[in-house]
Amino acid sequence: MVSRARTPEGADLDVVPIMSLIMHLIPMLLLSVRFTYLAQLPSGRVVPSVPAPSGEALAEQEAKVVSVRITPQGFAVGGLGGDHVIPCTAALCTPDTYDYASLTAAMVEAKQQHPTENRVVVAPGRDTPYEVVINVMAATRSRGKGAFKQVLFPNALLADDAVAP
Amino acid sequence: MRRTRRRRIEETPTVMLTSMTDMFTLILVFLLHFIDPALSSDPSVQLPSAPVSDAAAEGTTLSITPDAVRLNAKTVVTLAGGQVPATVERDGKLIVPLYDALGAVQKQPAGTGTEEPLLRVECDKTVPYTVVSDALHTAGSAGFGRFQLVVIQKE
Repeated sequence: MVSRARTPEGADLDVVPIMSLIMHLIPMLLLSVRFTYLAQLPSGRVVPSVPAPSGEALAEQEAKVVSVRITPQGFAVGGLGGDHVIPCTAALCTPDTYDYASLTAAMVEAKQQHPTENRVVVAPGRDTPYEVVINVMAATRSRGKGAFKQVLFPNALLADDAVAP
Repeated sequence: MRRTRRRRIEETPTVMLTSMTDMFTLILVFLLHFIDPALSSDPSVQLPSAPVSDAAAEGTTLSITPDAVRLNAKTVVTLAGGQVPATVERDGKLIVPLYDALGAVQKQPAGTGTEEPLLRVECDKTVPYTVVSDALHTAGSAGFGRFQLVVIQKE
């Protein structure tokens, strides 16, 4: 009898404070949320004691090492036996007019010539936008998606900016 | 008069907040799912996008914007016109203030693993490569052997 008197039947929980708290939390979380997924591209180590490969050094190594020089005119691919130039799709090279599809096709050809090699030397120019460097790394990394994905050169080594003209 | 007042008070409907509380709780959980330090980046950096699926990991973060070079959200070098100013102390390609800041981070006890330390690089897509190259060269000199170039995942 005493307990009934202390807790009357049908007593509602006062959820108003909880509602108030949640109403404050939601805008705060909405401000901090970014609905984008971040991924990462691994990059090789920059060894300070070893000088970065010069243009001549890269030319000597072209028969052994696959390389991509990013120039203001397009890409110069090494490792295919001779100069393999991929010009931009427009007169003026911008991050959107570099021909990444042709670069991937060249990398497929290079992979056939160097089946055991996983490294590619990417040599951008001094003023090359970072976006182009990332696009080149992505284009040389693999081709296709899902079950049709072909791994090409997943280990990109960034060369000194003195390499490109 | 008294009777009329009493009736009005009794007729006031009670608001049922339980279902609304349920809804807000679900929204809260949904939003908390997206709060992950590894998934967030410096809002002042316009990251490039690439079709890669390797998830970004946490670690010492080097942010390079057109205006500044930051280490763990602290400005180390202020850039002028997208380039490292001539007034900043240099040793060849090495950026001395950044080298000192990276050295201080390296001294702090981090993971217990024996593998080379990882540097998470968040760089604005418009930054010229020469700044990135110098920053990575400096990080390599400071002992960071692995770089994680953070991008926005593209399908």
